Formats: sequence, C-alpha cells, structure tokens
Amino acid sequence: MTHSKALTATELDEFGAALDAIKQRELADVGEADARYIRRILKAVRYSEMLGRALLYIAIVLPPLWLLGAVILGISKILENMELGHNVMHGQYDWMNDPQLNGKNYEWDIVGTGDNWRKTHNYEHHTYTNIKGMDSDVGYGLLRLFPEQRWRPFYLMQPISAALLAVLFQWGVAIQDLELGKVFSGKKSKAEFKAGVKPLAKKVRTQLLRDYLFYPLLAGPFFLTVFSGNLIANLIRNLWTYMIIFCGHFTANAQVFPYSILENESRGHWYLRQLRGSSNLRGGKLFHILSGNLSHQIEHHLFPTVPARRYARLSLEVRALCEQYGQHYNVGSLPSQFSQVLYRILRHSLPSKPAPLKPLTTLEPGVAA
Amino acid sequence: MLSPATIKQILRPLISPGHYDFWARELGSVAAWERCFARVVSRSDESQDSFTLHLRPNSNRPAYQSGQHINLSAVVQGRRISRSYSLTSLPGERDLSITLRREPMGQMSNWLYDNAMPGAIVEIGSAFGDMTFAKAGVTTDDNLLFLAAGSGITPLYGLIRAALAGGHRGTIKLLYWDKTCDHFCFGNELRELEQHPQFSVQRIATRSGLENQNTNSGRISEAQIQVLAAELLPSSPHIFACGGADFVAKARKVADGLGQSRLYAESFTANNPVTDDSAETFYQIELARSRTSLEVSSKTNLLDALEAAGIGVESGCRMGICNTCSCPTRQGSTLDTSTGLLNNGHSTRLCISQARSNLILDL
Repeated sequence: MTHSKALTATELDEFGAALDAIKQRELADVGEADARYIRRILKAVRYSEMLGRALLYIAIVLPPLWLLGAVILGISKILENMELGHNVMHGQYDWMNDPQLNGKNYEWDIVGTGDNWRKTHNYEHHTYTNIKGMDSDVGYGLLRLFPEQRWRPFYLMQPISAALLAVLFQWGVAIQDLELGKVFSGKKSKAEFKAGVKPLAKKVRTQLLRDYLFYPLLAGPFFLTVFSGNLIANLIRNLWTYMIIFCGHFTANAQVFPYSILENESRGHWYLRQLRGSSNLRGGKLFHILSGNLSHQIEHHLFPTVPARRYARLSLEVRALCEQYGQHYNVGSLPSQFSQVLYRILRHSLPSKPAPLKPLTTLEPGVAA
Repeated sequence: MLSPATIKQILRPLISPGHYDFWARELGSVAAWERCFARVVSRSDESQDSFTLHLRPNSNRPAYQSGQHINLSAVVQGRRISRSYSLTSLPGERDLSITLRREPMGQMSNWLYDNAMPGAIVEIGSAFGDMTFAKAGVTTDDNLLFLAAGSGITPLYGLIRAALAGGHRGTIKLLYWDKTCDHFCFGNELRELEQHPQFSVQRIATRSGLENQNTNSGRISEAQIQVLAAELLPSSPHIFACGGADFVAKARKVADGLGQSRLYAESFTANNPVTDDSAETFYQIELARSRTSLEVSSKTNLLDALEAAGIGVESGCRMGICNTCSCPTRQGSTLDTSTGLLNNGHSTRLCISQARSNLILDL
C-alpha cells in the first residue's frame, strides 16, 4: 500500500502553493510552440485517417493491406480522441482562439457527444476525482473497483461486464451521462432522460452512418471490406482508451474517497486528492502521445488546463515535490499497472472490506498514513 | 465544375466541416464549410505608413454596406487575433479592400505589414457598423459633409465612393485631417473622384503649416469648419465623422454648435486602457445575447457577479479547471486571477476572471 505521509495544514498549504506556482508559470508560458504542436497533431490525425481509409479501399485489390488500413485508422482515432480531442476539450488550447480547437465546441470522433464529456469528465470527474457517488468514472455505474463500493451479487459477473465495457468503451462513455441506473430506480425523470437522449441520438446516427454505411457504400460490392475495417478500427480505439483510462485511476494504490472529504476542502487538499487518486504510466514519447499524455495522469489531474505536451517535463518537478512532502508518486509500466487494474476487477467482483480511511492530513507533523 | 454547395452536399455524410476546411487548405484552396477565408491578391502603399490590401474571399463572403467594417483574423505567434477594419471596396465588387495604418505597437497591423503579401491567407468575419447611408436615411439629393481624421478616412472613403458610384446628386465635401502631407491616403483615388463636380476634398495637416495650396493646417475647430464648409452648412447636410475618440467628441461639439443634429460618427480608440491598481473600479458588462447589461466591480469574479445579478450561467468547478463557465468574449479585457495575467482573448473563464475594462460577453 501507499507510504504517503499525512500532511499538516502548513505542509498542505505549501504543497498546494508550490503546485499553483508551477501551473501559473506554465500557463503564462503557453505560446507558439504549443500551437505548432497541436496543429501538427491535428495534421497527423487527418492524414492518418485519410491513409487508413484509403488502405481499406486499396485492400479490395490487395487484401493484405486490409489489416494495415484498419490499424492505421484505429491509431488515427486514438490520436484524435486522446491527444487532440480530450486535451482540446479541457480548454488547453483555448488561448489560440482557433474555432477548430475550441474546448467549448470541439466534437470528437466517438459516439459520445462532446457536451456530455465536458460535463461528466471535465467537471464531475476532474473536480470530484475518485469521490464515491460524485465521480461516475468510479466503476462507470457498472463495475465495483473499490471495496468502498457496496457489493451486490450483480458484481459476480464483473469479469464479463468489464470485458464488454472494454470492447464497447465508446458506448460506455456515450451513455454515462444518461445515468440509466438513476432512470431505472426512478431518481431521474423520463423527461430528463429523453432530453439527454436527443443530442446523443443525433451524434450516434452521424457516427454510425459515416463508418458503417456511407464509407462502406463507396466500396460498392466490397461493402463488407470497409465495414469490417472500420469496425476493427473502432474496436482498437475502444480497447486502447479503456486500458489507458483504467490505468489512470484504478491501480492498486489509487484511492477512493467519501463525499465528506470535500467539506471545506482547501486547494492543497484538492491537489493531494488528485495525486492520491491518479497513477502514471512509464513509456516512450510515442506511447505518451498515443495515450493523450494520460500516461501522465497525475500531472493531468493537477494541471488539466495546461497543454498536455508539457506534462512529461512537469512530471520530474512534481515527482521531486512528492518526495519532498513524503507522498507516494504512483508510476509503473503499462503491464504492471494494467495487471493491478485486472486484479481489482476480479477481486472486487467478490465481497471485500475497505480498510479504514487514513486521513490525508494530520495535526501532528510526520505521521505516516 | 461542381459548385461548392453541391460538393458540400455530397461530402456532408462523410466528413465534418473541420475536415473540409483542413483538406481544402492542404490542397491550396481557401474554400471552407462556413468560415470566410480570403487570399491577399494585391497590396499597395497608400502613404508613409499606410497600405491597402485587396482580399479575394471564398464563397462565404460576408454581405456588407459601405461604411461598415469587418473583423479580420490571422494567427500571430500561435494565437488567432482579430481587429476591425473598414471596407473601402464597394459591396458589388468581387474583392474586399481595406486600408490600414501600421501602428508602432499594433500586433495585427505589424503582422499584416510583414506578412500580408499576395497569396497570404486571412480570415474575414461578418460585417458590422451603423455608419451607413441606410441608417442615416440619406437620399441622393442630400448634401453630405465628411469629417475624417487619420485612419478615420477609410469608412468615409468607402461611403464617398459608394455615393458617387450610385449617382449621388447632392454636394459632397470631405475635410480630411492628418499629421503631415505624407500621411494622407487615397491621393490618386480621391483626385479621380474629384472629377465628379459635386465632390471636393480639403486636406488639413495638423502638424505642419501650409505646404501647398490644397492643404490647410490646424486641429479641428468650429471656426475652421465654418470656413472650409461655408457653402455647405446652410443646407444642413448629413455629417459623417470618423477618427479617434477626441476627434469625434470635438466633431460632435462642432455639429451641436452648428445646430446640426444629423451627425453620424464612429471613433476607434487604441486598446482599452487597463488599470491594474488595487483600487476598486466598476465596469459595464454587456451581455450580447440576452441584451442586458450590468455593472460589476473589478474585485469580484465575473461568475459571482453574474450570479449575484440573477443571471444564470452554466458553471462547474468554480476554480478554473473544468472550462464549463468559459464564455465567448467579444470585447474587453479581464484579469485571470489564477495566473495574474490579462486576458484580451475571445474566451473568458468567468469563475476566475475579473473585469479590467468594459466587456461585451456572448451570453
């Protein structure tokens, strides 16, 4: 388990102030290099999409290229969803004033709407990170990943439901804000539900028609070649995003918190909670880009509005700061972190008891938590 | 050739507007789904520090009337910035023309001076502005007096061109102030327009004495206008004035002194002065979409101020991270309290921003 120290109020304030200072320094420094970077990413997204789709048509005469086309299209979608869409929707590039890269309007290549994401992810998940009952990313209303979540027999089939969620991850994200659980239990009205379905249905129709009707139709009698290629591309994207996102908050040392912890929460405490609830992945430059820099989940949660290309550099500073304040910095390789996630999925499908929550703060200096 | 509208119809199910714009640009075209991009087709020097750009827009060209201005946007050091420029072209012409002065500290004018060569691409917004003949209710027999100071000449030149091209029969007089003889724009064009017997120009250099018989000197004053427009004033002409805020204020006073109520004026002021001292200041916020306005303190976050005034704004974390309350900003500067930096951009995170000038918000 974690070997993080409980911080005194003074330490916590200093810790928060140090992180605030980093954030302010970075935001004051954004400029041409960040703009050039995100435009290059956009270019890579567009060209790889074009290449992937083109290869699927060329595969009509050269079948071995089919797999290559599907993989490239999948990677293109990953790049668009992660490094472009996700970061742009956080408003990281709003200062560019480019309507194409505006966090408020950006619409991504996934069945979920940008608007739903801005609510469930930007607001709920980033403000109430890993707070049970507030952050619906904790199990996506489907999984029990922490012993703090109440066990029900339904969770016994969790290995299957988790695998289904992985395969259909874009649909999980799409319906997250419909809050089906609340609709069934009557906590959310039919009218509210219908109002939520309408924009989603429009987006779903656009996405499905594009990938599964219009592009395949362009191939004429080889409809299925393109149809299946698009299906595989979306599947690749679903599996990858699922893996990266689950590694960000559901590793062995990631913590979940009760609602009560929010009472009079200070800036420093908020930072500390982001740190305790997030985990990083080690990897090369390309790996970081394809994860949308969510491999630097800790830095992303500390500084969600700072352009993500800066996280790698900031991680050194954040890590040193964590050492200074005796905080565990949760980082590991993808296989190591993801196997911890898989263990959580299996372990907590069965009843499990939470360890008592150790306070993040203390009145006495230097007490280990 | 397929028309752009047909091409869009075919592509609609396959690609997004963003894709369309991207690939059009990659293929060397300024075509766009709905945005209006324009290519600089030619450029000429007007005076010592002014130059004219002729811009050929794509098929999304904005409709406009003479006397109006457009927002021109370009990416300068990674940021897309916009400035308003008056159109001097006629609404029926294919190209849009603007004339601008290179301001020593002007980010956009310097960028355009250095980069807006033939082939360069800029973006054009929709046209706006109330200083038009239609608004003024001008008919072809009315007498018109134009008072221009410095770059204030541009909308007035556009109006004069339009009047003469439209066969205006009333007398048209232009009084045109600028620093020195080297600063006057549209020399040849105005000379050509002076072929029309009903039109005349009087240039007034504010910094030098009489340098030739066609040039007067001195700042704007009632006496001066009384003399220079003596033959026109008794007919109570429509007066159009454009210049800096001081000039327009003076023009208004002069017009009032003349018992003249038909004044249509516009002033451009350089950047809003920013006061960043610790004293509390109150600013006016205009909410463009809900057509209301309110006064806010420079010490209150805009989100709190709006909510206190009973204006519901979508908000989230209230600490500047979730971007939910981010609001398109049409005009003005705010202080980003999370960074301590001034924000003159097009979006404002209300929960962490305080007013540092009057604002126009898209709310």
